[in-house]
Amino acid sequence: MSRPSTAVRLVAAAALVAVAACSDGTRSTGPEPTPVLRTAQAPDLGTLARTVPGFGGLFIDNGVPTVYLTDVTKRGAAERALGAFAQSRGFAPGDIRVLQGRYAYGDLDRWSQAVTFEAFEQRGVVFVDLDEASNRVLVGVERGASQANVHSLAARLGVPAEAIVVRETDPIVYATTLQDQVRPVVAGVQIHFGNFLCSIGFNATSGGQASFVTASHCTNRQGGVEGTQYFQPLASTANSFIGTEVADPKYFRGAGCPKGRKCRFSDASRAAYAAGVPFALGGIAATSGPNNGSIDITGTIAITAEGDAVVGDVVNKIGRTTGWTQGTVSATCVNTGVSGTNIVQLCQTFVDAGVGGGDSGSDVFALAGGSATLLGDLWGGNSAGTMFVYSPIANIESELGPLTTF
Amino acid sequence: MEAHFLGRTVVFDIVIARDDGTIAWRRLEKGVGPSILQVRMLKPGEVLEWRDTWLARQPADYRAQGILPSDATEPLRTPWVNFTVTP
Repeated sequence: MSRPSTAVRLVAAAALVAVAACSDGTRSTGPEPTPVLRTAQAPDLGTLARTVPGFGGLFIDNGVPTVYLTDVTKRGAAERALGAFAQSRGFAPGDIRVLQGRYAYGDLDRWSQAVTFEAFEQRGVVFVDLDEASNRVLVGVERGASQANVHSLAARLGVPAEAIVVRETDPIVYATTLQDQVRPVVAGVQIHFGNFLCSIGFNATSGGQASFVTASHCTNRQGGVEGTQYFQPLASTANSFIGTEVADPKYFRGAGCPKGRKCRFSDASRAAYAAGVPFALGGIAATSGPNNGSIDITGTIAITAEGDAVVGDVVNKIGRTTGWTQGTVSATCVNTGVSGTNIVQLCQTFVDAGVGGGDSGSDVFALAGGSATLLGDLWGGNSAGTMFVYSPIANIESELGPLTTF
Repeated sequence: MEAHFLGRTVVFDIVIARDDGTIAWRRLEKGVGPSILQVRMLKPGEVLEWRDTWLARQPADYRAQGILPSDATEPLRTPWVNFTVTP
């Protein structure tokens, strides 16, 4: 039988498609529509303020449509204006709950706009809201910011003192991801060198030198120190230089290494932090939970111990691409050939959990009671992205020297 | 445009399937590779090609697909290509 060979070519072509967005700028020239609310959509509050005497706000209270009226005897107007809305939510117009309001919506709207215009000049103001659920103007300020200043402003603007409520709140910030600039630097965030992206495994000190550990193959050359320079998250980001490779033992031959191969017991290297770069020893960037695909940072996990894992243990990793993944250790002390190379990593641990390109170097840890036991650094996985491999921390420290990791 | 690829040497997979859907060959069927991400700037119109060779054991109708992993949730996949291996 013949043995024909078939060459299969994979062609990847990248194309940028520009999508034009159109907006309809036409305007109706007909008569103004009658402000009768018959739809199931939330009614326009401004329209309600014009059509319902004494309207002070609409909200849903435990599922029940509820309105504030400064004159509760006008509930008939409210029922007419909100009947369809109530029915769309399973209530008869007569079920609409009416609360005694103190302020009319129009007044609250005017005061809210006036306060908004000037309040943000004051330090710590987070938001200004016409709060339909309280029939007040609500101002959020950061903890420690002056509430008195807001009240003074309101008084100067002629807003009744009782009409404004000031509440402490957390500042609202853009969500930071594992791929953004993160200071102090913690484990799990993206690092950049040359044309490559990896993740930080963990912070450490070695002989008093502030450092971080990542994969050996996340250096300019795997094995051997060539002073790889690291940026977090990208070299193109301002103030992103964080450190320089200082430890990365060369791969060896013989002495237990398979014939024709070169070996190490860990795929790990150490970089010294540049002066002035803040980092959190023992800190791991936490996302909202394992195996949910999120890379948004929601807090940190503290390393409180180092340890090792046995088959069946549940372990975690957090890295810049697939975030927090969690799974079961399927094999330990596996001599692992690295696909496409002549490298064998000796005595590595396999975990049935997600991994993706860019996760190299990630922290691997066990979690108990909210704190982490550091197990090692992730360096690879299968092509399906369903199994990762890590170097145990004992192997790492046997090659990089003793490390203080928390 | 910026393109991301898995591996220092770009990792790619090729799947050869028989008519009944069973896999005849998969380039990355087994093995463990580094999870490093390579960043490249592609020029407009630039084309990258990856090739490998598979020796068919039996004449039959087959189909092939190329798969290119990156840091996206799903890898890039080429359309399936049908071909016939003759005796």
